[in-house]
Amino acid sequence: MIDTDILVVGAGPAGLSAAAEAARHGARVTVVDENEKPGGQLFKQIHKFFGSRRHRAGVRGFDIGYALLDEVKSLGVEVMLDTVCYGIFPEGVGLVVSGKRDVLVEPRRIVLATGASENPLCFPGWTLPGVVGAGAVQTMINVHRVPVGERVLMVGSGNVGLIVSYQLLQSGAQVVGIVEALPKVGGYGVHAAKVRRAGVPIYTSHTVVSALPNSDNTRVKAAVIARLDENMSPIPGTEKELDVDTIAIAVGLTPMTELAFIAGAAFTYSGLLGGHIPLHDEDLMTTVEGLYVAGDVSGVEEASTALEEGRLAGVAAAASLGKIPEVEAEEKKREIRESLRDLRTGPFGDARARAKEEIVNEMAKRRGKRSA
Amino acid sequence: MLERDGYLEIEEIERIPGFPGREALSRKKVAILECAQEIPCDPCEAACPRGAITVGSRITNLPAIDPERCTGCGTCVARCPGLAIFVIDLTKPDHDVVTMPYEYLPLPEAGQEVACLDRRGAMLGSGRVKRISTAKANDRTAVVTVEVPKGLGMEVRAIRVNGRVLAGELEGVKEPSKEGLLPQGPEDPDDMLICRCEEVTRKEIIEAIREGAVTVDAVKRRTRAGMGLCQGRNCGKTVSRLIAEELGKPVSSVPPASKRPPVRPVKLSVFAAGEDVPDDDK
Repeated sequence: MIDTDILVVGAGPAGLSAAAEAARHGARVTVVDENEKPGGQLFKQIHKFFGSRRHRAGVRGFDIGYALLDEVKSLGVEVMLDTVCYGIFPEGVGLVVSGKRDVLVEPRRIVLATGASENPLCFPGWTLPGVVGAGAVQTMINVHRVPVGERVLMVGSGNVGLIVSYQLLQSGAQVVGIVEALPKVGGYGVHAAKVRRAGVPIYTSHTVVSALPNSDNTRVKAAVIARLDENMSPIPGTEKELDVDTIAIAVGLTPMTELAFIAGAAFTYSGLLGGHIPLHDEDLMTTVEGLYVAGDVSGVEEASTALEEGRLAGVAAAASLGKIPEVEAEEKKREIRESLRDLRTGPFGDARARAKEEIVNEMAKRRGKRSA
Repeated sequence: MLERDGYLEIEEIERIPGFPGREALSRKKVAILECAQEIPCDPCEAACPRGAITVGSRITNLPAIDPERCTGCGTCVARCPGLAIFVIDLTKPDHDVVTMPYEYLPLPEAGQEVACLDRRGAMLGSGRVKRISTAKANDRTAVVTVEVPKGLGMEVRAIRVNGRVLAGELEGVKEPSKEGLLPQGPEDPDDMLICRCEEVTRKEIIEAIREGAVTVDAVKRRTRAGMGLCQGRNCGKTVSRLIAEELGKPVSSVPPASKRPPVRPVKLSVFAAGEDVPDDDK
């Protein structure tokens, strides 16, 4: 039995920030992560982050990761790696350490920072070797420094698709194009401009219709793309066959909410934020008392918002245990919410800000009904 | 057009506050901030030692350049996370000079001849590297100053070093056949696997839906889609979409699949051994 105040599930940007903030105020914090290395997606992010100076803008993702790790270590947070959290039960939280040891934890608070998983895209040939998720591409080229292929088609022009395309170029691969189903580029223009000036074409209103195999069916040999009409149907006669050995898929992420579901949290739906999401209040607490969500699991956004949400959940959880005087806690939360609002502004952020607000409002309404 | 094509046209650049103006460009070396979308980002403001860049109180404001304060020192070039700042000098009689961020290997050397590319990656001619800075403060973004052919200072935004082709879109594109038929895919879309763990095809899932299995759970019970190693983490999303398509309803109306512990595969021996068994008992 592990004795801890706050259990954080997930050692990515949100989880580590939550742990640091709670530990700073004297809470005993344990972070578990199923991976062998901490950092979540941060160590795959070799580009400089956006934001303001207080969001560490201009710093590369992996450097933010190292700084966070140093911080949680110096604050005495216990980080248990290779540790799977397989369920939340009335008796406690079930963990399996290194695939062997079953451990039950009875934390006083839980912060779920489990992140998101990549969306699949099914088209004839999608199960061929060479069709890979953009996240896997990043792991291969940026973490393990293994080439994923020589000629790559990227599917999806959101920030993930654009950034991974740029990183593929940096790694030495050729990117033969980016296809985007919508009539406009999904991600930031500056990311698009970087790959465009390297010569990568962006095919808007296009989709991948099939992956063609090589002669012994062991690898993608080509991708067929086609233009889409207004109803998102491929227009016959507009097909192009591109010689590629890799098709990278970057068509969005879905929050990994299994543990919140098992714990009995109520859900809501937001297409913009990735699908079914645990309802939460402005402290990021779900409908289950003492269960918090932070980062992509509370709605898919970016690493910079995950860092801030983690801090918010960390402060809220520690404060609810009496570790922070109320006035100080409210002041801190107000400051973090303001920082989050900054990140959720502009043509890309406004809609996310509204979607998050709707979730908080729905939660408030639900609580109102309960108490009435 | 930035949103449709992924790059800015000159006319778009001339309308943003990061454009120093034709008049300033005609008489001095100056920074140009090709930042045209209101994204929350402001490191450029602090980067300028002369206070020539202003974002202001709203972090999403477009950065504005004050050409009078700007000395063209280029400190800002490597500080922009979007790599959208360039310094250009159109005042030289026989060539223009462009200073740009560069994050590819190998790095060019001073004096080296490089190919000059425009914002679409089209080749414009050759240029010569005048200077390259890899200062530590730039955090691994090299800043390369290139002499480019006269008249192309507003066009050149990238270089190709040692003939290294990055994109390679020009080779291997086959246009559609005359009949306009889709090139034959490797398989019938109906036979395509949706659930890879349990090898369930699209056809099987569509049939299940038509027979009344209109939730992800019901499809799972009928077809085993989602009962494999990944526990539906992948196929569940596709199944939801197929249900929505078949019913003609939005995906949001399809309830989330039930989740049960263990959410990750756990060996039964772990549970059989009881809690907290030391490693050497295994």
